[in-house]
Amino acid sequence: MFEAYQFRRLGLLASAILAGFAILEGRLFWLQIVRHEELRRKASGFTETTRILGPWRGEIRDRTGLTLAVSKPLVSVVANLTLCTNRPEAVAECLAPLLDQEPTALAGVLSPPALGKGSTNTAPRRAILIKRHVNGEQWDVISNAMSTASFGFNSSSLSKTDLALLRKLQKGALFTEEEQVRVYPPLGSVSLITGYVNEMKQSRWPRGVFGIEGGMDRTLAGTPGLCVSQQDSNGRELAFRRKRFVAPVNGKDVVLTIDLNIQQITERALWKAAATHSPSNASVLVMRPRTGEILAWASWPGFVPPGPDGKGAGDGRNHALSDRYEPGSTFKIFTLAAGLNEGLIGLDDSIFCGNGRFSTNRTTVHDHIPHGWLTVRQAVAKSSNIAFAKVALKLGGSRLHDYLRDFGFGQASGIPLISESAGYLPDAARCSEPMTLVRLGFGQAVAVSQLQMLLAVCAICNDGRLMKPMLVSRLENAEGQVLQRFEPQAVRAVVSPRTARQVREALQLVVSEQGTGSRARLASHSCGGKTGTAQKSDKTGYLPGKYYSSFIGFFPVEEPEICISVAFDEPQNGFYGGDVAAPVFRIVAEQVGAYLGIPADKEVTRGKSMAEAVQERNSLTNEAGTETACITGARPPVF
Amino acid sequence: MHHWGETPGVLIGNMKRQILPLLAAVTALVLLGVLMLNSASIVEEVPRRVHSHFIWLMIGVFGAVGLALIDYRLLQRFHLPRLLLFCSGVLLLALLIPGVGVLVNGARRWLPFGGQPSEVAKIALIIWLADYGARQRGRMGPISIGFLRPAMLCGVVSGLIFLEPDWGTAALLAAVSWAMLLMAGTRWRYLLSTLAIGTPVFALLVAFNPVRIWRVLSFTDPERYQDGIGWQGWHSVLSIGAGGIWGSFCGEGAHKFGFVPEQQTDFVFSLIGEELGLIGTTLVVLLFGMVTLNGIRIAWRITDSFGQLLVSGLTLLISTQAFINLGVCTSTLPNKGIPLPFVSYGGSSLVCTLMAVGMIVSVARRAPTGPVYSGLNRQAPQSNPFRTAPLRPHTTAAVGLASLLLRRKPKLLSRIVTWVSDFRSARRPPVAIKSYQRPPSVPAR
Repeated sequence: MFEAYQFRRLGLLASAILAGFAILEGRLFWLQIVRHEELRRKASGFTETTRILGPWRGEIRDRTGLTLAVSKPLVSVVANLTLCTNRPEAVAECLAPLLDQEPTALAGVLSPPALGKGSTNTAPRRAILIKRHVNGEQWDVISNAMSTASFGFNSSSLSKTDLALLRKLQKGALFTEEEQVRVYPPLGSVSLITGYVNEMKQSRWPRGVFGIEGGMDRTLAGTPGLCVSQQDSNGRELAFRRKRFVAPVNGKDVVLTIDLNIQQITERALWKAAATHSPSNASVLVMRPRTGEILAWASWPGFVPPGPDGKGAGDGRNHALSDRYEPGSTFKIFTLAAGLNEGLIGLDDSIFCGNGRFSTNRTTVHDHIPHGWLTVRQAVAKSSNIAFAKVALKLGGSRLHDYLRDFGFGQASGIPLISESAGYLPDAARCSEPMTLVRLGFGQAVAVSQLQMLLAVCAICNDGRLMKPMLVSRLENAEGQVLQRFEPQAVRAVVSPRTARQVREALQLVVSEQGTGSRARLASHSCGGKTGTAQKSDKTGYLPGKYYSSFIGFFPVEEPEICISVAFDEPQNGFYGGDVAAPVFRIVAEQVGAYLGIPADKEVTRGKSMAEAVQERNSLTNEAGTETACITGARPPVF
Repeated sequence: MHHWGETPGVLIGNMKRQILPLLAAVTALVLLGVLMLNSASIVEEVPRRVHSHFIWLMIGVFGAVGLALIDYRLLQRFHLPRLLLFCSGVLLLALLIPGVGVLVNGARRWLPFGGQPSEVAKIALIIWLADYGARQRGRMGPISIGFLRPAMLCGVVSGLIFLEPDWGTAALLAAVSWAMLLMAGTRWRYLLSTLAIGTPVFALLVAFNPVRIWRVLSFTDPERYQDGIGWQGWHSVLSIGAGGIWGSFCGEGAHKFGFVPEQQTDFVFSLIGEELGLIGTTLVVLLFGMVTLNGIRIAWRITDSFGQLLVSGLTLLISTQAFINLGVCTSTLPNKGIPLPFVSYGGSSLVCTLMAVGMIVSVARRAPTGPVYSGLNRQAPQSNPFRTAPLRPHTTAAVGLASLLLRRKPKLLSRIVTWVSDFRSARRPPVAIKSYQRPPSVPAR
């Protein structure tokens, strides 16, 4: 039996313990009621996870189904810091040769933070990215090496805990995260149309920034998904604790109107010519006038999109799309079309071109040789500046302006590519100033892009209807089902079909023996076109010796199937459009005509042209022999 | 004669109102432990721990029932207190031999075949101290008997545990031995001077131990040290705080996936806090309060010194251990690896605490009772030899209700009333306790 003092002591101890429990209860009140919101928020920072699920980016293909851009699955190698901090040096020793990194630097990355130096501002890092863009084979090599490594443990005498640590290190020191990388087959200048993607640091999937990749980024990228869930302390998602899951919608495959065969034909011809003339840049566009489909878009210099390492080749500028220039003589087509459509001139009307000089209102227009009296047909064939200045004066500024605007100048065409230039067309009032007006007549005082010129000429070829350019023929899903088919779209009728036919008739003369574009003449098809030789200018005025040489042609004349625009910027060894650009037209047109099976319409000269054709083919095979590289898929020549 | 031992034919004995709440609280805690272990075992592929917990629970329950059934005074016979303490001392020494103790988390606390000797040593030391205190009753004044001898032994046992190293258990054992010596009658001046010397020594030992000083510092502001040493403490606090009032419900906890290490064993309270909220944590505190209170009440009522010291020692062991564990989980105390009695997963801890409860019940069933010490009189009163038990309110209510229901069957009613009154009279026979002798008087202090 206790004495009274013992009872008192027992009571004291008991009340001390019960008081302790009361303090604990108070502490629980403090944590679970007063600080509940704050602690819950901080806890969910560790346990909750919201992941954006990257969609699979769609492919880009040409119209025959050949791949132009495709996404490849790769992985990022991530180190599990909670494991690696146990033996950073040993893990680094094993990993460094596999990843081509310095062992000491890698060990520093994998080392734990100094004891007690934690700061409240940084969440503890449990994983760290150590290498990106590792493919499946490399990852197999790495994981095999890791699973057999000893990490500095003496394998003959291992304690139980060491063995467990070794097993854990072998199994889980590294893990992977999926990522996708865009791959472009080395296909020469078509990459300027395909474009490329940029690896954004903040997002795990690429974003298109150029070409079709940029222009149709939303279609290609798809819609990202969302996964709100919980994670464990290693950052792995706990699938059975998912709160919300929205599956990503993969991007659609984009099928272009480009035909890689025609593209190769065009590129080969362009590069051959570019080797002779070494321009600063040059482009050839092949279009089907009736639909506005672009069949080929060859550019020189070629282009290799920047890879994951950020290295590419070429200047990365689509000059035919983004550059604007004074078109020169090719622009006379539209002055002619406007004049004919208004009934102000007829093809057989005569215009006096004098002695090669024509002055009006402080402006003097020159022809390179005096022509005297010329019919309109002849004026086109000989490309007389004075004749078209007079036509422009006759039309008046506002009418000419309206026609040019309707042909699509001064506005973007709406092609789904990034960085399209709208060009520059003076407004109606400014066009009415005689000084501007006479120059407009033969293609000065206006800035256009090569694509705009081609589209406007296509309108002439298409009986006066301007078409919207088509670069995308359809969208498909991964199974190859067609999701959406794009139809040709007419923008407006600019001139009457009769006018268009008359213009084509006049342009046929350009490629006659007497015309400026005689070297564009085709063996088997009737064709028409217009040469252009524009002096380049900058702020100070026209630059001597720098020309913009172009040729726009089409065939067959009666119902044109193909329209081709050739342009050389600052060509060397000759600068007339008829000398530099027209032969490229001929080579491309003949091969494209053969490839597409466009029926020949030159019955009379068939026998002769067959002989010519054989000779032509022989010379072509020689050319082709040196440049098969671009067809077989090796890297294109980049200058 | 009933007075010194159990009444024949009666299972619980005359301290039903203390034993039943105690057992109810312990049962509730054990069930809660099973529930929480089941919830935490979601992180395992096969719930091995649940299986082994059930096996240990069986062993513990059988041990407890066995101890409750046999007479606790057998523990005083055959030099058992000395033998038990010697055996556990040998086991603790064996741990210090390299190769015997299993190294877990940098400490040798485990025997090769499982089991922690420190758990056994705790019980053995308490039995020995209770026996010593009862034998030396009235002679605890002088320093050699009252303080030096028992304190040295306690110091040796605590020191062996300290060397494992298991600083938490050593400190717990020292605290419980201190409290038992206090109750046994050692003078305050010796105990206070022990406290005055021991605390700074312990503090210095901590201060010069690089791991422990960070552990102590991290508990003051776990959020600041969350990247390193404070990770477990901070996430335990986050887990408890995230539970709020109602908790996220059983099985819905998010911190068991590696955020709070040892959430099945030492940190099971953080899981309770997260899944059952303030309701669950308050329930746990109340249940441990109930265990403590009823243990103390048993010690208060019985008139056998060994029983009193044994019961109060074991109760204090359980409650102090619970207090330290809850304090660690809520970052009220520095981080220490001590399991929560009855709730945490862990074989030897569960078995030993359940056996401690068995011993408490055994004492409560058999020990002679006296009149309750009210605390007003300085001396413990003489027991009233002719104490009659008045009818308690709930019995009255039950009999009244039964009479209403069974009005048509007076025979059955009379039989029930007879049975109840028989039972009650059997429980509290109005006979004198003749063997009680007045203890030798002790000078008032």
